[in-house]
Amino acid sequence: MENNIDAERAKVEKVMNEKVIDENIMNEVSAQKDKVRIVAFLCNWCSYAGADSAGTSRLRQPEDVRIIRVPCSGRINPLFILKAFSLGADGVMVSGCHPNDCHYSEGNFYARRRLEILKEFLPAIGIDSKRFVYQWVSASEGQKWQKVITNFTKRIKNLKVEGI
Amino acid sequence: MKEKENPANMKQKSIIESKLKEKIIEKFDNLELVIAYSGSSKALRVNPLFIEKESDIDNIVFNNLCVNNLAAYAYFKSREIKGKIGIVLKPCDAKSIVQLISEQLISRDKILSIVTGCSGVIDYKKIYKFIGGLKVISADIDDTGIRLKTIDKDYNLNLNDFYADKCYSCKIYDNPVYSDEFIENDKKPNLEPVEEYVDIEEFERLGLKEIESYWKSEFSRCIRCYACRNICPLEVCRDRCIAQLESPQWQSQKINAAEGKFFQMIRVFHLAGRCTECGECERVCPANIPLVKLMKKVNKDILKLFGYRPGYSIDEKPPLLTFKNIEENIKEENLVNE
Amino acid sequence: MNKLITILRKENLKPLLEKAGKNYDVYLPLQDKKNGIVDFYELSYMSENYILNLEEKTRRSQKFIFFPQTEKIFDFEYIKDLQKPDKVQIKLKDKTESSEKDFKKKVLFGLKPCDTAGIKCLDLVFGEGDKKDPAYIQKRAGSILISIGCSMIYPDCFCMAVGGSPFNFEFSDIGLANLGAYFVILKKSENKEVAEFIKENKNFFEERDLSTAEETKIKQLISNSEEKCRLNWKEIDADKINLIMDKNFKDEKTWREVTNKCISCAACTYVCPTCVCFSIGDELRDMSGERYKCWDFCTNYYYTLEASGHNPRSEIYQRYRNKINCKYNYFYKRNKILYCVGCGRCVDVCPVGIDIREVVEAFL
Repeated sequence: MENNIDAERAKVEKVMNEKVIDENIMNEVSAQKDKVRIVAFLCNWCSYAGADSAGTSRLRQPEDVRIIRVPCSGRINPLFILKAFSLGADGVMVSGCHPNDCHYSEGNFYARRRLEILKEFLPAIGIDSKRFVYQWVSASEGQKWQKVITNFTKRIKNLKVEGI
Repeated sequence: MKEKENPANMKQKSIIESKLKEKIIEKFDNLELVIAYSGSSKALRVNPLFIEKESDIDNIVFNNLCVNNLAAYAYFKSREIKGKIGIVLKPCDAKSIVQLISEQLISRDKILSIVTGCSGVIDYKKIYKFIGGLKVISADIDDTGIRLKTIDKDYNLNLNDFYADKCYSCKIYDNPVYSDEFIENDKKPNLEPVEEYVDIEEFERLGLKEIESYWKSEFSRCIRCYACRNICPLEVCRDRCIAQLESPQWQSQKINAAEGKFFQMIRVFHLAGRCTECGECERVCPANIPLVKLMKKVNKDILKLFGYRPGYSIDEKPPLLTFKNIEENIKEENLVNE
Repeated sequence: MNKLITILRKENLKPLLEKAGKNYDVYLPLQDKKNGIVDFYELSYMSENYILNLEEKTRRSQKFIFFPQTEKIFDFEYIKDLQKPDKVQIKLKDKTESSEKDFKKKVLFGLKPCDTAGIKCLDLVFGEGDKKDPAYIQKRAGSILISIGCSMIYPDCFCMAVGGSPFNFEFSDIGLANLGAYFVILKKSENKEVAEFIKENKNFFEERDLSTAEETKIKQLISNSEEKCRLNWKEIDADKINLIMDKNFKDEKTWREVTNKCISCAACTYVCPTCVCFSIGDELRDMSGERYKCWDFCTNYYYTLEASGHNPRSEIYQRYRNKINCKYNYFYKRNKILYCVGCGRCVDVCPVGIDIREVVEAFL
């Protein structure tokens, strides 16, 4: 009796492992051809909720994006973006509440100043300033989020093709 | 060993040096410590001098070799010494004090800023580059030029060719932005002024690939000695630096070009809108990496975007500590219609 | 009776190094034309942008060749078991598994006698005693140190004061004197690596009789250099200096005075031939990482910072005092050799002009 259960368990695990491995291999193969790595820092109250609403509305979005949730765009230290680039990100996006609508009233005003300075600075160390962008997406703007992320991914893929 | 005697270095007896000594003697009763320049056993250099007794005031020198920024000691000494501290500053150094006061890192009545008019300072690295090494035994400097005695031959050089880069775009050499005591200099700098940030604009026109390989080859020599961070007057965080922490680990302790570059990024963003471009970081780097370029680039952008120059005003709020509802100079990207 | 000497003509130097480069890893002092800094590079760098410079002192010492600034110790990987998800195994991958099949012995050409004394100091720490470093021994074993006696003495050279000399070849395998058009071998070690090296490249060397004119010239060269070097600092009695340092340890006032200027960076530590402090770090990314060894500097605030937050050396004078005692006191007591070789690199590179000679003099 017990032997049967163990044997069954082993069989199920074997199938599970295989399936997982197969899927991973397939993902890797298709991803290799066109793989870009985009990191997006989204503010919790507006942009993350906006991206969420894009998802629940079944709007199609690119899979290359890795989203990191922060409480406010004012939490973003410009070094986060530089660290992402130094670790191999192809593009970085920051998105927050619209100016005047920040959940914490002023966070995005400070963010705007810091991120604009960062954007102007990137060419001085050899990174194309088109690879970094900051946008304002609110919680109800699921469609805007879809357009923004799709256009940004397309831009990064084109830049990669140019070989910079 | 040779510091007590006045070495063959400084034969330039100047009016400003005696006026400076008189002023310090006058103010000495209220001061617990005075930081000034003194001669050095190394040719073409001056050393910082810490004066606690009135008899040491005679060792003070002031001449064209005084390139060090003594404001580097302002923050740490102001926390160590109970009484008032007097610092001898050139007008460019006084900007660092202004920035420190405006950020409330030192209090205004703790430091007595004795600012001297400046006739330009010599960058000794340019002289070493010119003669191809460090073979200088002694140097004689006066209005007519520099006479160098080296191991193999002697040189007679014109002062004008070796001024520090920062002197060419200086407009405050006889009109400092801030001083508690100002001592006028009878001499003026003798050089062709250059418009500020011209070299940065040229650098920006190079292609991205060229810039990347330029920085890669420069930072391959970085040995992460932290001399640049420790000499900066505004980097008061040197005992608590995030680059040396293990948790959270911002930066690996491995030494290579990428990590050296990332450390400079940490410094650039720590000093954005605060760097007064004194050039000390580049002067002290043992590997001769051009660090001021990055600082100047950020300062140029901040000037363009927010109209702010660090170090010029005690009361003006630094741009990154404030905001405007509508930013006139920031043009945001619109990705929706790309 | 005439003595026999071996000479190497200047025109044979580059061919010799290039031939040696096939069987050995050759390092030599090259000057980077862009910024004028002289440093030791591998032979493959020699070109129109990096020219051979045998007179100048290198900016930093050569300890990075045997004791690299960052060195991997091993890789490790966390392996999770599907059966037991709360347990994690660590698998270590020793570096030597995947390494250096074509490991070549090293030849360092163009050292100065102070540099070789520095390498001896490293040997005593990493290569001898009951705690040896196998990575160091692997690099150092069989390496050949070829040094050239100094005819150019800089204002901050003081090897004579600490027991060395500009022509001291005690720690070199081959010692040369530069006589203009050719080098003369003044010392040759009796070990088999040197014999093999000379035998393989024997057509670049010539043996002939030493003429009396040459002998006088060499003696003159040596005594000139020694005299110039002696002027830079008076001789330090090694036996007495460590006791003086002990006695003056508590003299806080003088220590504060001489270290007022110090900004506690690592410039002097990293260019010094004998500073050996290192730190070990672990870095992890996802499930795998590596443990590495990297240089540390004792002038750092973090050097003695304890996990509780207490720091026994929280002030700069305490850290600098430790550094000087390390060189002139503690290591002398342990290994009977002063750990300052008098190269003067710390004096040259210090951002604020601290001179180690002035610091020690303040206590004599």
